[in-house]
Amino acid sequence: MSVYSFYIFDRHTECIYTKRWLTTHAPPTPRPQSKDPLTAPLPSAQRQALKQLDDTKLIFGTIFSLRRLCAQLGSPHPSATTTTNPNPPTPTNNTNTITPDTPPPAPNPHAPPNDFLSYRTGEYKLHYFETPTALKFVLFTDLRVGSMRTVLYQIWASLYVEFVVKSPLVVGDSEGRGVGGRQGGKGVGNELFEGGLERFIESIFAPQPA
Amino acid sequence: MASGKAARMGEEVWKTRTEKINLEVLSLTYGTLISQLCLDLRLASNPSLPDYAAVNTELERMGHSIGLRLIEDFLAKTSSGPTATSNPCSNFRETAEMIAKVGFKIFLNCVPSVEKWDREGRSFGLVFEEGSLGGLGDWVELPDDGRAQGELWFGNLVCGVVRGALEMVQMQVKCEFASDVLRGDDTTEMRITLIRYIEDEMPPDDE
Repeated sequence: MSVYSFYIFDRHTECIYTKRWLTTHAPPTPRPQSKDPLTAPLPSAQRQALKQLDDTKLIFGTIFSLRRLCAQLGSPHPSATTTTNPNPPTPTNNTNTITPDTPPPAPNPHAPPNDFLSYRTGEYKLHYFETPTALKFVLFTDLRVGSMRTVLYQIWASLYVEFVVKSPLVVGDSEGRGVGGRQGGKGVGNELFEGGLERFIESIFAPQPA
Repeated sequence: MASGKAARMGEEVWKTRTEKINLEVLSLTYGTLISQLCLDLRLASNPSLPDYAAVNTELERMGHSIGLRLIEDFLAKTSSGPTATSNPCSNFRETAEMIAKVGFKIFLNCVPSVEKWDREGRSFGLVFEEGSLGGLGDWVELPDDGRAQGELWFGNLVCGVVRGALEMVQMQVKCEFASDVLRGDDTTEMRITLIRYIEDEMPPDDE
């Protein structure tokens, strides 16, 4: 049982945190190099950074598309148009039952009960958790792991909220976009958060006795 | 009833999951902040007079930054597990109840009542009975210079907090005071109007 990597994306579609764990995961084969001097290979540090950027973009694109797919294929919301209905609303507690005579006033179109939870390939399993503030937590683990939603929830509630949201030194959501801000995969890293995350993950993925 | 559930949730979270500080400390700190802002922000035309409009704007901006972070704390405190967080309020009325019964209860220990809905259900008022914002306005008198009574909204920081917090959960709202006991009105009322639901951001196109 091992964990490979962990990402956090904020609501502005940027990756604000990346963490990779060293495992015996086989490194990806290098792409064939071209002989053309214009596209000569970059120094390895830059290449690494670009690859990381590509990875995060790819991951975000994947989860974004999967979310939309699940929302579209899942149960429909009540219509999002407002109504001029003076009667008090009947409480609707499930999006599946749509009462046509007294539609609820100004319903919230962002109420997806059918978010996707995880997907699995032959090599890894991706776990996904999203908060109502559109903060997205993505965790890559090996295949033997069950549902990690409670783990991701705990990371958010006990680590992210405690050490990132409540820290005045960490750049916030609308503050400092661009180079000085949260981009670059290390935007919200601080010692307390990183340390807490390490310990928490270690306690869950404790090495099995041989 | 939905409001009963919200009220019970607010009570329970306030009792068990919040750290508390002395209310007087908060009132005095907030009052000092306001008076310092009044000293710092002066009218361009007459630097000996405070610019109350600028103070209001500044308070709202500060509150906005607070609200952006406060919402995460609120969500963490009021949800009990990953399934609970994916059940947000299904309409604006529920949102109003949550703000009034749970949000204000947890953070300011006061429970305003939700009243004066407009016809379409997109705007409501939060009426605070015990006076100004559950104790923030204790021992406060607005300056007697003839202008503060008409221009300064003492609790404008809280308006910013509500606006920032709701912005993070994809709702753009306008939040402003309609009346204030510090100004001599009967009640303190904050009006919140839903402008629109914010769409998810798309990732930028490469190529």
